[in-house]
Amino acid sequence: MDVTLEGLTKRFGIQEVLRDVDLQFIGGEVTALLGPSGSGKTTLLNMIAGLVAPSKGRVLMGSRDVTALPIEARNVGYVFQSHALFPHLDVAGNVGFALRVRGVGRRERRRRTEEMLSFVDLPGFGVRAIETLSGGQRQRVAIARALAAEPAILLLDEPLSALDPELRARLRQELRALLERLRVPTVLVTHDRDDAFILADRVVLLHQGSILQQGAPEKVYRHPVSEEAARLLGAANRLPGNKLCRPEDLAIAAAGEQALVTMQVERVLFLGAHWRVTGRAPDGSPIIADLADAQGCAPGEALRLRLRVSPGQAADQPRVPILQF
Amino acid sequence: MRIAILAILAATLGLGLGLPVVFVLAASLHIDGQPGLTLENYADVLSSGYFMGAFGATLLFCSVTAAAGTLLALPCAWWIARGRTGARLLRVLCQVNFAFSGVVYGMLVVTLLGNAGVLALAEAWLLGTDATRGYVYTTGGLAIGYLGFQSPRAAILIAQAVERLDPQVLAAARVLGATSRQLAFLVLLPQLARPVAATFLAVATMSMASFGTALLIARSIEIFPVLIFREFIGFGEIGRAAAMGVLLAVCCIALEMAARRLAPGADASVARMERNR
Amino acid sequence: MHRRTLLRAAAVATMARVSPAATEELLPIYNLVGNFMNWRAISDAYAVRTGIRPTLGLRSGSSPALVAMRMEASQPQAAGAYWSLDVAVEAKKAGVTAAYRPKGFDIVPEGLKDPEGHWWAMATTNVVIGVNNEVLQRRNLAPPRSYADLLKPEYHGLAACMDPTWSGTASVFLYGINFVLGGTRTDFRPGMRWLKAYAENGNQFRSELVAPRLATGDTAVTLDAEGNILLSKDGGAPLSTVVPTEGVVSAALGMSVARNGVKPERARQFMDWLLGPEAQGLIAEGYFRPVRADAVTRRIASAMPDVSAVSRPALDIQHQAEVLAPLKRAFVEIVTRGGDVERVLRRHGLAG
Repeated sequence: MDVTLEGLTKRFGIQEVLRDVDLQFIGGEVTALLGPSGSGKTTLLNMIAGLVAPSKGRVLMGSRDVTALPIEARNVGYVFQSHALFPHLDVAGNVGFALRVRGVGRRERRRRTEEMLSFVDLPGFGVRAIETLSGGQRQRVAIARALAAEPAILLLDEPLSALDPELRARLRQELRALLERLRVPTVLVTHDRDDAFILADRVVLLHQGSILQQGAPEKVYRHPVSEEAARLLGAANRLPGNKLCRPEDLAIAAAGEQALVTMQVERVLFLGAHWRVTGRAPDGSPIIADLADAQGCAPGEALRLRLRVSPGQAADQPRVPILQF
Repeated sequence: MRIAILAILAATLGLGLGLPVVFVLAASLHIDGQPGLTLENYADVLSSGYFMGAFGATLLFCSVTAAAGTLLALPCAWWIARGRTGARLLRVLCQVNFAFSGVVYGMLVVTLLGNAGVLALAEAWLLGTDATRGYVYTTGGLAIGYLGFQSPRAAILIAQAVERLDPQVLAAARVLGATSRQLAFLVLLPQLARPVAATFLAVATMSMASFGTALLIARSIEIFPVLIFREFIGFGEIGRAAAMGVLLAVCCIALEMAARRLAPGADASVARMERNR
Repeated sequence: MHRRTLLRAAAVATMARVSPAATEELLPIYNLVGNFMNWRAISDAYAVRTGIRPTLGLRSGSSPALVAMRMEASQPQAAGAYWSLDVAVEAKKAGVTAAYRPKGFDIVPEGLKDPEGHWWAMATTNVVIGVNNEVLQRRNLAPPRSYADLLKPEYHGLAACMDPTWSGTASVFLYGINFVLGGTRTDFRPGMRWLKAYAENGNQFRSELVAPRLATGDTAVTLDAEGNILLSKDGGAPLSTVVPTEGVVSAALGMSVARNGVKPERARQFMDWLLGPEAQGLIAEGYFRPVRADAVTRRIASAMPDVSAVSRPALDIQHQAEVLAPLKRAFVEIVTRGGDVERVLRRHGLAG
């Protein structure tokens, strides 16, 4: 069953947090709502769950208008940022909670709980106390709990934001694997681009309450519809001729090659996978170039840059910059 | 600087608490006119059916009223903690209640439920009967008097516990499909079980030590602190009164320790969670 | 310099107006309750006369005063105390009193003073029935005329008197009622039976002064010192005194000087003055009966209840002091805990 949002608007007092949002979430697809804080993405998530009522607009599940339904009647699965597990219940108690409040019998509850725990790779964890679980395990329990009653849609609020980078990278892969197996539509909210790219099939860019762009991660990254959208997804350099390119699109121009831009190097950083050289263009605008090899360029020097040629492309066919105004 | 503060603290506690405690202990181990230490006072009290009976009756009475007071305080505590309309006023009223000493409180209750109290006058005026006259001097009246200072304190303590609840946990329950009733019974009350139990014990302890109200209106029950007063003032039995005081203090300390075990402070539970992260 | 002295003078003058007590010397006497036996007026008069202020409200109650003095025995804080004489006997036994025969000692009748001067009476009072006329009228009841009346169903729950384990006056009543109702020094059953029946008729023993309660109508009937009732009546309350037909219990109240007490010279001067005409007159104005009979004016005399017609058992203060502790215990067991009169009194050796 698909979930559709029609013209959702939310006003808090005089402040308009969301403006006329139309979106559709289809089964089996993972959508990331990406945007800076204040863009309204969590409010949008909460409106789907029913935790916040829209000022205008409708929420539809399938063809049914659920906008007026109270929270407990909506049948959504929600994974809170802090997981919000019940401290007084064990893992099985948490996972089976949705079934319990629906009056499902004990035997059926137990079966389904075990099923869910296996799904999230925590078999036999039913008797464990919440306090004894690690962060990653807690998140999986939270997901199992959200999915136990077969919701129409799964919502995750900043699932990885509270973690340190090491743990985050690892859990991201696990979460990806888990979400892939779901048949319900999944919506997650994040402000982190890597989360969005790795976890989602579709990225929706939100900025100040409106949707800037939506689409597959690569498409949105390479073909942003505006400079705002471009900058939401990563660094972007302004080139002469009102063009934009990404840092990794630049390469050092050899002696005989034509340079697209000559930058005044300010800082050279080694980031493991590549070098990041930052500096300024002649017109003063900042330039960031990610180079495979910095070839000993030092701060204070002038560096000539051209667009990088992707493999299989003819050398004299410069790559099309990502954006043309 | 720290040493100075600790020194002041030690001096204050020592003089204000330590010295009187030592004095009472010493008095309890003496019999007037006889030299040397003796446990006879304790033997007297512990073997007396009268004193132990009164102790037990007081303990029972205080436990029952504390339980009732705690339960009665639940809706009020919820109201205060959730900041509903008038919550601030309600909290202030509860806190102001502490300001009254036991005797003043007793007089307050007598004004309401006594022989010429508001209730009796209203009944006489409306119905012409006097069934409620002097109600304050019955066990029921005493219980109402006790509930009057127990409930506000319980409400404040429980409100603190409610405020510590994670609102996301409550929201999670609702998203999972719990109705308000299910939320209350399956999520709220289990989480509040320990704080409520600790509140009950704290309130019971406070009631055990309560004296002024009982002195004024207790007739049908022998309240232990009043007995202590009577031994001390009425009969001049200083040693025995001191021994009774020590026993009462030991009982209250035991109740308080039980309360601490049931509901360690918020810091303790947070520390536990951090360790497992 | 001129301004500073001016300010200082102004401050002293203000203080003298605002709190005359600040410039008086204090004389610590225990159990001077301001509205009992007109002590406030007595203390004021002495302060005006000598600049020494006897303390009011310090250790109120005969028993509390005794306990305090016992506990302070190694370092007395008081100069003396005022109390019921049976408590005074206890005090002498406990060794907290000093021997002093004040000026006017001879005026005090025999039997109401310790020959060595450890205690002596200043006044006596009778415990009578006090009624609030308004409350009784509203219930269409005539005032009770006897102790027996208080046991009747029509007076159920209407009476309150002070708890003998708390009040000195009430403990004297506890002792004396026995003799009024026909008991003897070895047989306290008549008194106890009456007290138990009184309680079973819904009447109360209270741990507070009952005179104010009678005045407000909280209680309709009390058994209290006549002085307390009449003083409240003077204050405008609709009260009357009734002399019970069976007889009255009289209580004797007086002074003792503390052993090794503070300000012994001042204490003695105060004790001398208390038996003089001025103090005794003020006592009479509080509707108590001073030992100096000629200090009573005709107006006061006519206001006092007439007890000449009824039985007034003589007070054996020594015996009272001996027997009071077991009697109070018996009272607690019988009246508060519903024990059997025969059995409890027999156990305490007071059943004849």
